[in-house]
Amino acid sequence: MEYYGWAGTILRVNLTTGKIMKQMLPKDLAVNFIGGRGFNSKLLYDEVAPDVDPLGPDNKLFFGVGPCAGTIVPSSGRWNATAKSPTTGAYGDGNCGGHWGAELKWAGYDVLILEGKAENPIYLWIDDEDVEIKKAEHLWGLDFWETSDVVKKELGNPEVEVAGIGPAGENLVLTACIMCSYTRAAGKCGMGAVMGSKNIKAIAVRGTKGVRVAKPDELVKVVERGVETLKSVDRWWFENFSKYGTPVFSMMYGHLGALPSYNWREGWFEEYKQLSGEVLLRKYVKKKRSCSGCIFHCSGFYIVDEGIYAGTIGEGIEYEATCGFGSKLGNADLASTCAAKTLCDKYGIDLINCTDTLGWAMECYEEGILTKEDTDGLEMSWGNHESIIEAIRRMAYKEGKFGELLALGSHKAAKKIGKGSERYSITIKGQQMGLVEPRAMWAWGLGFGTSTKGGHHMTAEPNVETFATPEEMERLLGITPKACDRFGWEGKGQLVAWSENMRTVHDSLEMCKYFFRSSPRLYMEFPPNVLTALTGIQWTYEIVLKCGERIYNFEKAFNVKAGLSRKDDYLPERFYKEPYTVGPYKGWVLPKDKYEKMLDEYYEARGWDKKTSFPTREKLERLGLKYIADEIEKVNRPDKVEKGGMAGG
Amino acid sequence: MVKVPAPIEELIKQEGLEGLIGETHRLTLESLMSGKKTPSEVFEEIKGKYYISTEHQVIRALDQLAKIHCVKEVGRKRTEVFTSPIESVYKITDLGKKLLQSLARK
Amino acid sequence: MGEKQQYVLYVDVEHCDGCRRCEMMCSLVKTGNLISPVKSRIRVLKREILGVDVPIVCHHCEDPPCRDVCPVNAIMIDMKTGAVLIREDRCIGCRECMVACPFGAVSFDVNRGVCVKCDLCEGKPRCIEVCEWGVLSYRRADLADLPKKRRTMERLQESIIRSREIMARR
Repeated sequence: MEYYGWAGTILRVNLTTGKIMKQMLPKDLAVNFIGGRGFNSKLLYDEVAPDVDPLGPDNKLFFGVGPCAGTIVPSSGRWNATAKSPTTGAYGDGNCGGHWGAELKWAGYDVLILEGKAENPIYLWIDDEDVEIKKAEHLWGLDFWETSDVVKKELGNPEVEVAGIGPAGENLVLTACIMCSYTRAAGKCGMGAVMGSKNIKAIAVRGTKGVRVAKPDELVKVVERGVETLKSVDRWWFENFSKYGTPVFSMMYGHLGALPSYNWREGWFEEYKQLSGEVLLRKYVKKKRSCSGCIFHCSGFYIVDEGIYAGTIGEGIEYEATCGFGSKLGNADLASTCAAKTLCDKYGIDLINCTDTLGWAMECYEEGILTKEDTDGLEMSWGNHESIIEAIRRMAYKEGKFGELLALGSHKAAKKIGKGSERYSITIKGQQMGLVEPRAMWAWGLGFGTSTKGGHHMTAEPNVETFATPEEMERLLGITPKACDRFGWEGKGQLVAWSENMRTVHDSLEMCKYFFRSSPRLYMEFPPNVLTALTGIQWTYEIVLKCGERIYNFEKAFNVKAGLSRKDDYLPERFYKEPYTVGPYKGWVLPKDKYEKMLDEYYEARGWDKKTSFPTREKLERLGLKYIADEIEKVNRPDKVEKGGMAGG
Repeated sequence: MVKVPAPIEELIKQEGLEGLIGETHRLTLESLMSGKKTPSEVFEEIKGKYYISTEHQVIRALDQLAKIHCVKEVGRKRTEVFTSPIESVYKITDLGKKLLQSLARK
Repeated sequence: MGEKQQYVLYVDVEHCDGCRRCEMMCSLVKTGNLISPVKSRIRVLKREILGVDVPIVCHHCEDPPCRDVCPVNAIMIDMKTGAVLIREDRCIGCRECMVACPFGAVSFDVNRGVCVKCDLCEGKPRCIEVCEWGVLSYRRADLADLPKKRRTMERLQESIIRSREIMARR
């Protein structure tokens, strides 16, 4: 079977037995699940029982890349790490940029599956078809940058791409992530802890096989047209995102009162302009860099050369750092957010999971729920950036009582200490939330609640809500123009369902979602055109969208079997009950009754049962998933539990 | 369906904007009748009308109107609303005034 | 009839962002349907923590060492474009040109057993089509010093204007 676009091989490594196996990529997996996240989600559902211990040997860790990886398709080369999550106890994945994904593809693989657990620390060396398990005792304990350097030296090749974990993953810290290319992270859902639990420190790859293209001239034309469309329709976005990167959001959301501040208590931060992308660019960013094949060069290579953090170097300084360590923690010191981000990259800690956990700790401290004794003497007051830096280090090493508490992540930490601290844990399904205020952007609010991996901002990322015109909403997407009102509920359910399906496609191609930001035309035209030119198979928008829907239903089905239902699709009470107390949007909340309406509309748009959120048999069979419908039927329905607990619907 | 003057209809077709010029654009053009403005200034006037809730929707509408020659960029102004502290200033063109008339007649 | 202008592939190396699209395009064009860095005639090396990315290109020397060392005269200069070309039908794959090149711009194609290098795509280099930020450009050789000179000018113009303002106040 000769593949174009896809590499055509699944690589399976059993860390318990040391057995390495290669399987041919099945054609129906390729055409029904596209790649990357699509492959991962399908394989996770089929191969991992939802009741396994996420940090035990029966969990599997899937690394998937898409057919676009390693090609001129813009902003391609992203990859997904998927497993059962130790933070949500359900579906989990992290999505990552950098250059590692492209290298894995060039080595000749679409998916890498890690099974079991190594007895001693190891790292994997993938050199095209030669795959070797190597000792990693000498790497254990090193931070991720040191690890990358040592591996490259040992292999005699500075061009090798390295993915792996830092001390946080080794220590099974739940906020740990998997890093690659020094500064890129597969952040969410505790994937770093899963990797650490398998005793695997790093995966080094060198790929020389390349990717075959079915219709090369057409691919070049499609790519050119796509980039032109992006620059024409999403002009503001292209210009400002390439220049400032995601820190562009600090002014954007700051101004709209949508900037999470003081642990999500407020949406307005007085000093938000000090954290702006423009200040960052002027003061610390020395050069722009890109992920594989990307046209935005959104990433800033930064050097802090003044103040107490002078000497800090890093790259990829994101809004989740500048405002995550900034406004979210009441901190207006931009240099400290750069220092914090560099530390997280070295330790292998996810920015969002970390900042939400610190935000929880700080609010608890301010409210007197955590005392100085509980924090081992650390003064966790708003804006105390020296404490923030020290807290990150303690989290990575589980140092002291406080470090151990932080390492659980805010959700489990709050459960552990109780005392009303749960109120300040801003998580959904146990997972921390990405940085957009639900009370100020209702489609985003809904998207957080419904995300299969819990509280994720990129699962839906419904930019169309606030960037497209009401005319585009209505004519191109068939959704009521009322959906353009960020303070309204109508149309949001449909918009989020559609956005989620499309974003799933983006995660399967895999391409950076920022390419598709808010141009409905690009969403509809680009994926099928690029897949057709790349793979030689005829794709249409309808087929592609259906793949997205199918993949999403797999993730949902895994969650259903793991015990999740409608009750897990809600936001923390803060967003329904606590109005902003400062800023131009003082008094705003996202009323719960309106949220319920959005959620109902969402389930209806998805063809899922409104009471339980379970995908209906009709929907699953229409997606060709009868076997899943049969399995879901066996799951205890939460709305029937009271009536004697009989299974079945 | 709104009947717009022929030259505009041709431009709309050329730019792939059929069916996409409507109330948002009418409000935007109307706002520019009282003088040249930046997108954020237009937004301040029309926000809350026809579900418009962010400046970016206005930026999109102005981009589309510029493509069909109904508005024109005439300068730049420092407003510090966005990360890029400087915004473009737009004015309505004669063609834009004609478009506004036909949109208003609806 | 005037002389045809000579053009060069110019690399604004300080601003390369490491996206590697040039390599992907080059390999796709040169092989016909394969995207692979080892088939590309341009190669970008990255050093992330230094914030440095460098495209390694052929300089199409006026007096190329690779041509000098070739035992079978397979290397010549194209009269039209000034590009230094390897005539692959003559190449015996001895790889001496790889040794002689001071930049490492020549590579070896293991499938075809010949050395390969940039040939400027007959005067229309394809790599520049996908270089989004103009790091790679195709410029007149006699004006190729201007981009760097302009950058020097920009560095000085701020201080010139400032000192003029200060002097005017006295």
